[in-house]
Amino acid sequence: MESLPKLFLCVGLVFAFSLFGQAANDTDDVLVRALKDEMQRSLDELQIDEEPKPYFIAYTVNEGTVDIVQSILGATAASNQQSNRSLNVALRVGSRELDNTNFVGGTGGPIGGGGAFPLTDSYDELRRIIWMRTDAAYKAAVSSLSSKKTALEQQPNLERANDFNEEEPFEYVTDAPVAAVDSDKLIAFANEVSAVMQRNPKLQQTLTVVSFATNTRTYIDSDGNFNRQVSSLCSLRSQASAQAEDGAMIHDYVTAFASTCDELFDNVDEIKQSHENLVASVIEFSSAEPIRAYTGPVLITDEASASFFAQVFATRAGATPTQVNTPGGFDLFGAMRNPFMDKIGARVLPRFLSVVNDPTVSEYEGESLFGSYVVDNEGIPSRRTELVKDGQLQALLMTRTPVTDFDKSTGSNRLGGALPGNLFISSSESVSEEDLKKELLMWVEDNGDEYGILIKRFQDLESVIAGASFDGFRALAQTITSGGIAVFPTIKAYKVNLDGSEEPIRTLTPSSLSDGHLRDIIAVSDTRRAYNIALSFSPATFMASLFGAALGGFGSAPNFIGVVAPSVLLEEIEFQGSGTGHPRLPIVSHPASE
Amino acid sequence: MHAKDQVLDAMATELDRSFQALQDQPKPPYFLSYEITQDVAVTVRSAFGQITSEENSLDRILDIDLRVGDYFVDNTHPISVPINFGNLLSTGISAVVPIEDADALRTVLWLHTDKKYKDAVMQLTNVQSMLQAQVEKDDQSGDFSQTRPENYEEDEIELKVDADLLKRKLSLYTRYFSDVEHIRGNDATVSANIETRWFVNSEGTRVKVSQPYFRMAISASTKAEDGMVLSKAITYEGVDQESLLQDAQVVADVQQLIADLKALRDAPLADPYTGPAILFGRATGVFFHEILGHRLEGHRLKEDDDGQTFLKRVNKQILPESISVIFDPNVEYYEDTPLIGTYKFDNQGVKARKVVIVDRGILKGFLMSRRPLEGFPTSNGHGRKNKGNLAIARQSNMFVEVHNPVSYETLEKMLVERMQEEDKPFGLIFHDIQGGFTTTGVTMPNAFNVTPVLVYKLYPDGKKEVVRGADLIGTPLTTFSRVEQGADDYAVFNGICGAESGWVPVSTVAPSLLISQIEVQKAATSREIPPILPSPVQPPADRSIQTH
Repeated sequence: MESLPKLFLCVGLVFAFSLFGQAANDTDDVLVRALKDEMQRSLDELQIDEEPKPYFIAYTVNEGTVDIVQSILGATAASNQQSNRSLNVALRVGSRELDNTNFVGGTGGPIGGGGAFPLTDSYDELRRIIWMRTDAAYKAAVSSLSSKKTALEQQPNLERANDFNEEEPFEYVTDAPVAAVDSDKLIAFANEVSAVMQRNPKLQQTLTVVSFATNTRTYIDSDGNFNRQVSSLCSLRSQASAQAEDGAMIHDYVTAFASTCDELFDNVDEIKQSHENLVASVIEFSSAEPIRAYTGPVLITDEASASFFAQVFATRAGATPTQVNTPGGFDLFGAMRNPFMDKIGARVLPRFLSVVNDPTVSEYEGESLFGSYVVDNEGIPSRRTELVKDGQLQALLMTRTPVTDFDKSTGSNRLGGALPGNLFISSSESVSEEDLKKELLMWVEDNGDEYGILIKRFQDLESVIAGASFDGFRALAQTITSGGIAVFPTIKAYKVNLDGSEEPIRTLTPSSLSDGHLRDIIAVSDTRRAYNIALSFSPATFMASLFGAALGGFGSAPNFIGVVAPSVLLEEIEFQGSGTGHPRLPIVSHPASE
Repeated sequence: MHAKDQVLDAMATELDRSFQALQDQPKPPYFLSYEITQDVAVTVRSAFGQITSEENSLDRILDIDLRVGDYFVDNTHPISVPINFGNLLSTGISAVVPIEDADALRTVLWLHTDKKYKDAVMQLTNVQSMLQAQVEKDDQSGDFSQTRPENYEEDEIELKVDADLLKRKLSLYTRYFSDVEHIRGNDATVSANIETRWFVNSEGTRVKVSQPYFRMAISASTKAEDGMVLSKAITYEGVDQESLLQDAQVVADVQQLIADLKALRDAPLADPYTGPAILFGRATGVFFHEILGHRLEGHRLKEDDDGQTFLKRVNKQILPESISVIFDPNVEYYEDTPLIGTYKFDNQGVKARKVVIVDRGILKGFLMSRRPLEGFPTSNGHGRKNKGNLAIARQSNMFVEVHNPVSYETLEKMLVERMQEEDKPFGLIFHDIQGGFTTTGVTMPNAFNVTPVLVYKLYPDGKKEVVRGADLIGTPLTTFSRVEQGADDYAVFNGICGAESGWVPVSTVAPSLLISQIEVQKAATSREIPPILPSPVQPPADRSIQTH
């Protein structure tokens, strides 16, 4: 039931550097030549009447394959293999002080013209599509800039920073080969693994999805940034559900990731064991005790602690630039403003905690960290950023879009917005795991309660969707509209009795968590563990995707935040219980029970 | 035993077990069916001579029709029900099923049947309480009709595709678009599919059918100086890849498409017009499919919110005496052209059959699924759907037959005569219609608006001139009453039609028709200017046709 603890290499970590001159000017590279030539022509000549020419153009080409298999109880239910190549154009008119971006109410991102981007390297045909997409992007940009200027004239006191900064150009290419997979082996592997869950009358829905995705990403912009990066990811996710006697649905899942599928195939026994554990866990929790509600101290350990910090910092680590809105329009983006924007220098965590974002590190004590990358989606090299020192907020992660008081990128543009890579949560004061549990019980006793709560695992976005969890969607909505912290319902929560014994309990849903809860962290453990949390959501990426500003486009591989975190003890969290009104148990018995 | 039988066996075993076990419930099911649709597909796309994507896919989707209540009133009775947010979150997620392992398949069937049953009981309660508060309807035909059990099995067809050949051919066909300056957009898709369906129900029906669908669609667009985007497509259908890849024909069609788009780009805008016109063969097919066909689908005629255009016109004249309309899913080809609305059994396990809907202008009946209609108590094998939907009455292969046809040349002469009688300077010929919409509800005007892609003005001296931006509008009953004469130049329209039960393949075989009066309005248009910079691609001076 644990996600596989280690073994797996990170996606896209094998990079080789070379000089820009070698690749970007390499006339043998048809794609790069076509991108450069059309970019130069557009910078020189693209203009409507009196309107300005573009001052910045960036092209991102993602070329990839995806091979995916869905297997249920040992047999294939669906499979799909595809190859695609896409072009994303980011074009700016105006000036770095004021351009067409960061505006709500424009014509949106350009709609691609001409047709799909060719998989094949024909110079002429690549240029044809680049030409048409650039043309569409330019027209949309000119129109947006004009509307934005009008909107600004009507709100002369709006405080806003520049739209785009200057950065030192950075170049690199990797020469890592693109990995491949044998589709038949992938299918056989998915069937073998999912067969572990066969003929178990206590299980209900099960599904195993195994996929292999490769991506070659080429980025070039008119500021002189150029990079090419090859990545691949083989991923497995199995989910299983069981129903408690009172009808409550219990869901859990297991995941495994590696840069090639052979690494998963070679560990098939270990993976099958993880599925045995998944089944055991789902069944164990289906007979767990439901509790109605809880308010009190909570100990968050293992993967739950990593999920907790990933959720907190996915929404709070990145700066959210001001979006110019049409006056009087519904200000969704105002609601999505990062609450930490106004807290630089203020205490956001207890004094003993510090947080660093470091995408340049790829491993922690032998565990791969999947949040590492060399260059971000705007071509800026990744770097270490101290976010919180001794509880005090020091900085926010930045893209190339400045905010008031900060104008330099931290190389953090992932999925279009500023997001962390690897988060390291460290503490100047800590206690052993054992003492942390004792401290939990002390708080329980002080409160006059009979038990405290221990959480080892939260749901993630995919399990929220798979379980059609209304509470999970509500948690998601909270982060969009109210600046709350999205913490999904629990998968593995335990009651810790005063004698130290632990009993599994049903799903708990945290009530709205606020920044105040973060300052109420009482203590942390002296051990830290590394987990990779698949990036599910942040307002920054939501904004970017809505307005087509995502420079990088969406690659085929999921993005992760690597988290190295201790277990944490919080003074008080309010939980809703698992509720009542669950669906009936199946009326007809499981076919295997006959 | 072959795997195919194991699938039907596992389905039947689980169906019997669940159906019997649920008979002990206070509201037992009276009907249960399982349908598994397996789609094996290879899709290749190309534009301007280059391959743009490639996909291989396999999916197996389960659909369950479970009914509680009785044939007269059951849980599928159409009512407006309170929104269940829990269900809303889980709808739209198709049930994928494993079929190669009987135990795995039965487990999935068991779980989904349980959920369907619980939902059905809830729906029936809603239906019953809603009916108590309503006055009795005129239509007393019930919710589900009886039909005889069927037993039919055929082998699963293996998908045979040479993907490299498809890629080479598609690149070859789309290369011509890169040779000309006026083409702005291009896309060509070949999809090779084998659809295999397994169907069992509680009445004893066991059906397994396997059918190939090979389709190639080539589309291109251009932009007029005023910003209007003009696009046109050509499609090919077949049962194997060879039937699509007829080089000489495809290349000729592509060149015609390029020429048509050039003519369209340079053509003047159409003005609003009322007067006589010809619908050319394929255009007649689209027109009849959209405007007549959808109004003949039986289930729609008992919906309270439908305009029920033809419900009260059975045994009355709705078309000229010279025209009959027949639907026949059993016909596989018209001359050499495959008809994609062909099938052996519909999605309710009912055998496909020929139905004469309009006999010499007189409306005789409707397309029926197992949802009956007053006066039409049984299915005629037209209960169709795409995977993931509940089957309703849909079109199959429509044949528009003319009993006293004239040649197309004569039809044009008749148009000229008409123009002169009405003192019109020109008439219109609708050469191709790509699609459009039609509203059949009671809250909207019962009208249609179809978008012709190629329209000619015909002058009395026989001269033809292309015009662009003409939308054909009108109301169905009036328009059909003005059909004056048909020609003998039957043409096939094959299309994928979307409606309440998803996308289904349909065909229409129809001739050119002279209509005494049609109405045309100006089409909506974009005003976005053509590209600012010239194309970076220089067309080659000469590119001779090489098809090998």
